Amino acid sequence: MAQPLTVSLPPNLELWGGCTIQVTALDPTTGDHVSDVDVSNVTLEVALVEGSADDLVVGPFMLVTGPEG
Amino acid sequence: MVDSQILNPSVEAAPSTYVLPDAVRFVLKAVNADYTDNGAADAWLPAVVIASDSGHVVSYAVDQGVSVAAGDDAAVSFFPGIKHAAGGGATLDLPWAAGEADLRSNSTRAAYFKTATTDSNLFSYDSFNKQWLIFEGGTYLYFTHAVFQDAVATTPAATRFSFASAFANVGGGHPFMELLNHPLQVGVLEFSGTSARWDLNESEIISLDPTQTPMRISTTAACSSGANLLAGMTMGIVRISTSALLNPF
Repeated sequence: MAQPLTVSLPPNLELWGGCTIQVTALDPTTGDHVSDVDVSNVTLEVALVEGSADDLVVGPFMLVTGPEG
Repeated sequence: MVDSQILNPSVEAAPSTYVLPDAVRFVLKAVNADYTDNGAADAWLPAVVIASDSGHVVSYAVDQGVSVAAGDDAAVSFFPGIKHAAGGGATLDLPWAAGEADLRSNSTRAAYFKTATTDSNLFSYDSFNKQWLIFEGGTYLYFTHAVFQDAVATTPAATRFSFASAFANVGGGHPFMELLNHPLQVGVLEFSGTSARWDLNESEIISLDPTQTPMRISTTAACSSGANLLAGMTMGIVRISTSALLNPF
């Protein structure tokens, strides 16, 4: 298994249409995106303020249905 | 608010980007991703970069302390409230001395029957003279706790207890300074015809010039009813800085 790591995320950050969330790897010195690193199984846990869960589906991002879904 | 989870299972070269649809507003609670190194030349930092609809960055969720070595993979969770333990920090390890003393002898220096120190080159107890010695300059916290109790049911009238620590230096130069600047004598209490118990605490912050070492510390207790006194004390002294503050006020 790959090493498990945790990184702090801003709390209570409300985002709206047009905002972007990039899951990436950064160079520790320059802050640039690092090539030759792949990302997979990206999950976003969100608390909806406006809109419906079905609206969250964009491109390759799909809605994860729970036991009640 | 209802929690929802969205997933992108595909493998993508970083970054993997999610753009919020116009109809949606949400609070981002957590992000998780698997990272696979495909030949990065150097170590890298897993990160989540959040930008507003204008393209300006709102935040970088990244930690210089969470680095992945080149060639390694990682499973990374991002969520609020993470505070990593400081790595490589020095552990606080201040030199100290402590003792327990018998105060039953009237008007004589306290005789310490238990002593301990972490640095015998800095602190020493002179059992003959009943003095603690400090051999180096610096700033020290000195504290004592004493308990006095008259042994008889009815204390003789006008019984007095007193307790004081005395500080003395040798050598020339600046004298030591008590930064707290309060009297050394911590108290005198008079009882009349009742059995009594008296708890005393004394604390001093002492600045000791290196030219004045060694400093000598002794404690004296007195009870006018002499042999009726039951009393003991504990003391401690800690060097809190190797620097002496000669003119603190």
